[in-house]
Amino acid sequence: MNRELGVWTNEDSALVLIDYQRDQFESLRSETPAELIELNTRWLARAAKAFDVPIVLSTIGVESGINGPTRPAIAAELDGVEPIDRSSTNSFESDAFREAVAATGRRRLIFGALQTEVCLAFAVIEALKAGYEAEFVTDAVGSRSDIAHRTGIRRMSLAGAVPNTTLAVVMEWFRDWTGPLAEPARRTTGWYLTEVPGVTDTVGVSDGEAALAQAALAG
Amino acid sequence: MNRNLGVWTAEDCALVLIDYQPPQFESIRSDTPTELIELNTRWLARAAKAFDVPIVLSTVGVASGRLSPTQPAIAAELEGIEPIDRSSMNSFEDQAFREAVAATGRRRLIFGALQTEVCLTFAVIEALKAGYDAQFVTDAVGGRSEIAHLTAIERLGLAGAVPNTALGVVVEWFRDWAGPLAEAARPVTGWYLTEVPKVTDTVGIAEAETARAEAALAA
Repeated sequence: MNRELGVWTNEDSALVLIDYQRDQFESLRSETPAELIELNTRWLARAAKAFDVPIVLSTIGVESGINGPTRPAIAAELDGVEPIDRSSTNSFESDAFREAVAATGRRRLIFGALQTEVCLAFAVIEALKAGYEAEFVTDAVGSRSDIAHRTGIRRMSLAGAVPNTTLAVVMEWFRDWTGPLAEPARRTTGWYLTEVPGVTDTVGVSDGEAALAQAALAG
Repeated sequence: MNRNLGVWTAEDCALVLIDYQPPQFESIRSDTPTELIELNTRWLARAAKAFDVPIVLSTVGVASGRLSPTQPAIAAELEGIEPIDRSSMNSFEDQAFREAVAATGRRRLIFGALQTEVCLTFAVIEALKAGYDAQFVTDAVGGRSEIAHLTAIERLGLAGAVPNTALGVVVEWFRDWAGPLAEAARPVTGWYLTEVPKVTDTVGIAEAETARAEAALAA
């Protein structure tokens, strides 16, 4: 438990996205549907770009031909971000990955990765050990079973990582509807709120929000 | 909370399996089905052998004639490992058990035991008190009820033990698909991925993984 972490900002965070690939998506059986994980991850990427949060992107087994590259809909949000391909499930065993994280200059890392108890947990645990603050996005990650997903979440929290959700990460980055990031926040949030109902009815969106979202997109 | 535990490796761990006996299996009523607990435990044993991780095996009440020995399918994976039979549900009250654990030379213990809230909990809590790092495998253990199982998982996590899953443990041991244990990892993982669908449809497996698993077994 760490009482000193406080609210994180876009100035002190980097976004780290790991192994959003074909095989990892296909075997998901935990609480958040694969389509919503994809949408949430796209939103994180869009918001990070809109708020100048540096992004590190990594894949596993692409060069060796075992796995496909980053899921196309997610890759499409990450134009200009070169994926760092690895053979190790522990991202921090890759020199290129460690260097890319260090090069962001940020000490607070927000992780999304597939799958929760393996490539996400290993990266988060190693980040903490290396002295970073680590946050993970529970509804942008998943695993082969619900118990595997929940076990990974528990392990990371007990180690000192901060659980968060996609919407809260985006809000935490810009915070203030009259603040300096409010304009880009309106567009990216509006886009998300109009996309969610096409993917799931398990996330609440109020009528007023839907109207504001459509206005922001038209505006 | 411990931020410095990092990722565990095959070189620093021992596997401790306690009380996988027919009477304990019979009364399980928590989230993981008994057939999957058995398969996950067999996989842990196979992987430990493949990666030279020392194994300690213990039973309760066999010498006194009250309980039957280790479940045959699990015992079959542990040839050459003598079970240490006890009368105490707290394994660490048994001198032979304590000595066997110390004789592994490892300070990081990964526990599987039936049942979660009794023999697993007592062993893990005592291991932590004795200065070991302790990990427990949520989907290779179970209790008499879901709340008993979950209560113990909570107790173990709060005491400083690390929750993991069978797949998380195996992947954490070898980590790197191009590393020194990758050749040993392929057949043992392939075997598991072809066995899972015979036992449950609640664990996701990608088609490409199944194809690779079959190829690894045929090789």
